[in-house]
Amino acid sequence: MSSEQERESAAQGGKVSPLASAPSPEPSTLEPLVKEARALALRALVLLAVGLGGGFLFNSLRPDGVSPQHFEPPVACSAEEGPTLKTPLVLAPERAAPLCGNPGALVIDTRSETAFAEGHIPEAVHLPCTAPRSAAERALELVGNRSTVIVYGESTSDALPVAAGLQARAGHAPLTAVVIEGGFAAWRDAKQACASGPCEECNGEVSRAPLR
Amino acid sequence: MRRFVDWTVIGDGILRLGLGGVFLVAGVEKLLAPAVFAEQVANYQFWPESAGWIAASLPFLEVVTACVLMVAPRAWRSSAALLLAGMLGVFTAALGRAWLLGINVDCGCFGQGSPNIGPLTFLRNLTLIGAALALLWLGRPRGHRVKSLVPATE
Repeated sequence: MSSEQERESAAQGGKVSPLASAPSPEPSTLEPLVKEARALALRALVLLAVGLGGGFLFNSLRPDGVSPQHFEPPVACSAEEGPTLKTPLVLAPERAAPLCGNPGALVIDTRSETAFAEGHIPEAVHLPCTAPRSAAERALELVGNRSTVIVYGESTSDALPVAAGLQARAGHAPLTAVVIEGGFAAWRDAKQACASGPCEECNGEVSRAPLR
Repeated sequence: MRRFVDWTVIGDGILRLGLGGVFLVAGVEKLLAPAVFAEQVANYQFWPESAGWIAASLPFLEVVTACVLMVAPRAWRSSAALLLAGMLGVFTAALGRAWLLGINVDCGCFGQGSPNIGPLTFLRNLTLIGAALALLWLGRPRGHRVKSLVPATE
């Protein structure tokens, strides 16, 4: 029995039992709306799937796409643990040189991978500014109980944020960060010791550490 | 003389081009620098493992949905408006969380150089949600709506 017929009979005598009349108008009036809403949501889901799927496809095809599983934000030079209490010490190459062979000090190179491979201070650990969180943490592990890190880059300014970041990351452990003034160029010009080639023990381990 | 100007059609067009344009620009900006966007997502410090997945897929989804909203047939436009409203709801929730925790400074809404999160960010998002909902209302199916809900009178 349709709703029109019910209304008709109700108007004529009101003899339709409440049991029969109550549920029947609902489907006829709401059914198209429910159908529309369902189709609307279904199309939205299709759009969502196409958009996300296309996004992954496009991302995997482009050379500079991000790796979904292995993305790690570059954090080596962000001091996210709060304001650094100490600022890194900037020392001229001659004054930093005696610290180099010191077992209490770890040398950190913040330059690019190619520059690092061409030559670096002996036993330097490669930790560029773009290194992810895991690399920064591995570097801190290497720092261990050492009291000092000697950080250098192409210049003074590009080593400073990494040094500050390491100090902030070290948290409560008292870590002195020394930045070599003038960077690697000044170090080389000052005729200090210089090693060449990748650092076997640290380069692969720190700068390309796998995620977890 | 009657004027045949249907303001709902004009409003629908303006809102579609406006909302679609905003999302198109936002998506393209993010597509230009996926690594930057991934970093911005990670800065929200909410489920950091998802940053790569979001950065790989979301910008493209924004562009696709914006294009569908602007040029597709009515039924698909409405679905795009619904999807955009949902996305904006999620974005606004994420922004609100970051704002409350005071962690993130860069909203990452429009790729590199996005403005910092502030009251204006929320105002903008609420406006966009309003636009998406208005589009849903303007694009509602016609024909069998009011008539069947009102009891027939003699």
